[in-house]
This record gives sequence, C-alpha cells and structure tokens, in this order.
Amino acid sequence: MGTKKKNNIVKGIIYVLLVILSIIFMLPIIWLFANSLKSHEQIFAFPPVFFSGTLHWENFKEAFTFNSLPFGRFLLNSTFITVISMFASVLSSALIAFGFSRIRWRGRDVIFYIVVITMIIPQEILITPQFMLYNKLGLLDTYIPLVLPWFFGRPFYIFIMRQAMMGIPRELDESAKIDGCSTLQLFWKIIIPQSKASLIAAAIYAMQDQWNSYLEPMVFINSLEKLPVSVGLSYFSSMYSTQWQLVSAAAIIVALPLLVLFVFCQKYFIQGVVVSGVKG
Amino acid sequence: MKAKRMTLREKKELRIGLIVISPWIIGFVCFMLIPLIYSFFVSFTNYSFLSSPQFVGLQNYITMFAGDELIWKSLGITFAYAIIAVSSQMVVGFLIALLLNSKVKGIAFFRAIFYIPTLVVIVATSLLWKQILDSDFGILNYLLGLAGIKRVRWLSTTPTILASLVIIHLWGCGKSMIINLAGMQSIPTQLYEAATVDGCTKARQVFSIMIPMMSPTIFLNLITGIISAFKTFTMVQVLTDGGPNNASLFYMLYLCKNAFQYYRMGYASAMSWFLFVLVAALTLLVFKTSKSWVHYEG
Repeated sequence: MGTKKKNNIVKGIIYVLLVILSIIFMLPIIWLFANSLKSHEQIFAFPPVFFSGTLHWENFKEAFTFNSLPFGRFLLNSTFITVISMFASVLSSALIAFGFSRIRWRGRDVIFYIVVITMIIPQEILITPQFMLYNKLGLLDTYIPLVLPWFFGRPFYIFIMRQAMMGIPRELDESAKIDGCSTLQLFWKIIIPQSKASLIAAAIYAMQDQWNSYLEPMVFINSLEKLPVSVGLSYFSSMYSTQWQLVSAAAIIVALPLLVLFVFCQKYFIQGVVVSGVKG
Repeated sequence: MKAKRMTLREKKELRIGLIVISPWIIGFVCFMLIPLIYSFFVSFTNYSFLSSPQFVGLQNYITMFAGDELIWKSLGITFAYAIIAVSSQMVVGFLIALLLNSKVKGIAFFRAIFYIPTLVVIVATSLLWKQILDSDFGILNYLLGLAGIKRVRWLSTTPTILASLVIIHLWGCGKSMIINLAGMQSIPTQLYEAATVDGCTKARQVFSIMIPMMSPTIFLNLITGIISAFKTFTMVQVLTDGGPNNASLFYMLYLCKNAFQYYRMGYASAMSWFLFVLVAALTLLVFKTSKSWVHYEG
C-alpha cells in the first residue's frame, strides 16, 4: 500500500508541473489572440487586459487592407510557392532516396555521406553568392530562385525517406522484377506506396520550411506584390505607428494553416521529428 | 589499381544508380558547389555591385581580422548566444521530456501543447514576443511587476536581448523535446527493471542508465543546436534589426548588412567563408570529443 500511495503523490506532482508548464507555453499564443481582438487603446492598457468589452473581430478584416499592404496577395504568393515546392521536393527527394536505398551501386554509401554533410552546411552562407549569380542570370525578382532548388531534392527529406525505404523487405523488389517491373515501375508502384508515411512527413517539413522561409525571399524579391507572407508580415511592424491589434490578427492568419494542419496530422509531424532523431 | 574491374552487371547498376540520383548531383553542383567556389573567388575582390570587381588579394580577410571591430562584436554576441541557448535548451528539453516520459494519462495532449510553439511562423513568433517584451505595455514586465521586479527594458542592451532570445528559444524547444522523448522511449525497460532489483533509485537510474543510453540523441541535439544558433537571423532581424547601437548584431545579420545594404559583396563573401570554416571546425570538435562520451549500441 505504501508504494502505491507514494506513486500517486509522484503522479500528482507530475500533473501539477505539466499543467503549470502548459499554461506558460500557451500564454504567449493566448496573448496574441487576445491582442488581435482588442481596440488600439486596449493594447496599451496598463495593467494589461485579456478579453474584455467588445471583441474586435473586424481586426481580421482590416489586416487585409492595413497600410495598403497587399496582405491577401502575400498569402496567395506563399501558397503558390509552398505548394509547388512541396510537390517538387517530395517527388525529387523520393526518387533520390530510392537511388540511395533500393539500388546497389559502387560508391553509393560514400556519396550518401556527402548528402549527410550538406545537411550540416548552413544554407545561409550561400545567400551572397547565390544573389550575385541570380543577378548575373537576370533571375532576381522572380520566383525561380525560391522554387527551383526544391526540384533537386532536399538533403534532410532524402535522409528521412531513405531511412524508411531501407526498411522495406528486399523480397518485394525481387518478386516485382520477376513480374517484369522496370526500375521506374518498381519505384512508383512498390516503393512509393510502401514508404508513404515518410513522404507525408517530408511534405509537412516542406510546407513548414517554405511557408517560414524569410531570408531568401527578402534578398531575392524586390517587388512588394511578389513577396511571400513571412516577409510581408515583417513589413507590418516596421511601419511608423504600430497597430499591434492588426499585426496580431495578421500573425494569427499566417500561423493558422500550420496549426490546423497539425491538428489533423499530428502523428506525421511527430514521426518526422522522431525519425530525424534516430540518425545519431 | 586495387579495385577489381567491374562486371557488366555492376556497370549497369552503377549507371542506373547515378541516373536515379542525378537530380541531387545537379542540385548539389548548381546550388551549392558553384556558389561556394564563386564566393571563394569573390572574397579576394572588392566587388561592390556598382563597379566591376578588382582583385585585392587578402585585403578582405585582413580587414576582417585586424580592422573591423564589429565583426568581433558580432562573433562575441553569437558565441554567447550559442552557449547559453544550446545548453539551456538541452536541459529544458530534457527535463520536459522526462516529465512527458512518465506514465500518466493525457500525455499526448501535453506533448502537443509543448510542440505547438514550434509551429508558429518565425516572423509571427518575433512579432508576438515583441509585444510581450515591450517595456511599457508588455505582459512580461507586468507579471514581473506583480512579483516585485522592476521594469526591464528587454530589447535595449546585449545581455537583456540575449536573455529575451533565450526565453523565446526555450519556448520553441518542442523539437528537441520530442527527439529526447523518442530517445528515452527507445531504451529497453529491462535495464530499469534490473536496476530496480539491484536497489538503484530513480534519480540514480536517470544518471547511470538513461543519460548514457541517450548520448547519441544528446549528441544530435548538441550539433543541430550549435549550427542553428550560429545561423540566427530572422528572429533578431524582426525584433531589433541588430540594434540598438549594434547591441544585438549577430554574425549573420552583420553579414547580410554588408552584402545587401552596403553592397560589400567581396567582404560578405569572406565573412561567409569564415562562418563556414567556423561551423565546420566546431562540428568537427564536437565529433572528436563525442568518441569519449557517446555510446552506440551494437
């Protein structure tokens, strides 16, 4: 009986800690939501208020016309860039991962080491030379610098898909070969369906990465109406008088797609992170 | 040649393999190798975008090491941030994972709660914390005020800005938490059972079984943490843009200012290479020391 009682006390303490920590972690998001429903005066109220008086839902509408920034356009741009990048990177990475896992060829594992090493190299150091090269090619202020690299596989996605494809039993390949499947058919009809979970995990990563991308569009895009939403959002606060209630509403609109996706595909989000952790 | 001549079949397989991974080869060459080599050459010129480049030898590197105080300031800020952020993230990420590893009901819900902050778009996160940290109407100062602590001007000096960034970073530690949790759950339970039979306390089990068994996970978190700390850009750019008075001038921020505000492309290229060498050296160092403390199974 003694140990059971002790166990209950330990569980109680764990619960209390978890609840307190959860409140701390959620507070900033709740605060953002509260601010998005305030009037301009309420934002600067001291002591601060959470939800009081009339809730100003119209802030979400006004965010679209704030300071004549084409916020709706930003959202469309990002959606366009993200969707293309997602499909391009998942398909190309899957094919490359297939080459690194299901086909045996001399030098394969050595080259795969290079892929792993490129994951460590900070992409940020490439931004200056890329800018100069795109400028020479006349590609600045187009979406090509933002989207084109995604057609050639992303090292991290290749990595997680290869991990999944390595786990598929060899016999499947052999029986498919006997049935007269070509290499491409093998990839498309057998390997892709078998490693679907890792493809979805990579697709989710791709969406997060591209929806978040900031430095590249900031450097490569000049025209206001071509900006993706993360750079566009940063313009909201650099304006002279900061309308925090509108900034907050816009921030929520930008953050929402990924949060909604998380609610529906939580399993794949977590799986993707877990797979990235087992490479050690 | 010590390698045997390839058989016809091997040749065919090699050809198919290379064709299948060819998109990666093209991408690697075009988007990484060529830019890297190009920036290496530009780093020896005074290319400024307005005039044609002239060869200046090691001038950019000499300026970097001998003539530019800001670069050392930015390195100091970046290093300080990397040390504080990575170490505190590893501790907090581990402790929360430890809580989540206990067998109580509703754990999936709590896990989701701690993960959600990582989903908020970085720019939105910055704007959100800018409001929380505001010294006049921010809620953080209000809460500290309730505890009797005076108003802090969070985004005004290097130490307070670093403290703010570490707080924001810890708020978004969900990924390393999940990785830690996965590491914890992959440890065979027999190990704990055997230890309990031997009369080993729970706390002792964490230090003698869990942490050594999780050393590959901890190692991974350390490497990715260091690299991402050195890349810090977006958050600072939106929060302070390096200011006030360069108090938060991170290395990447200074690099981008040189390249895209002052158009000192040669200098920015030299800075890029320096960062590359620095991150590579640090990674190598951690890899070397890892042999003594990271244990791999089988």
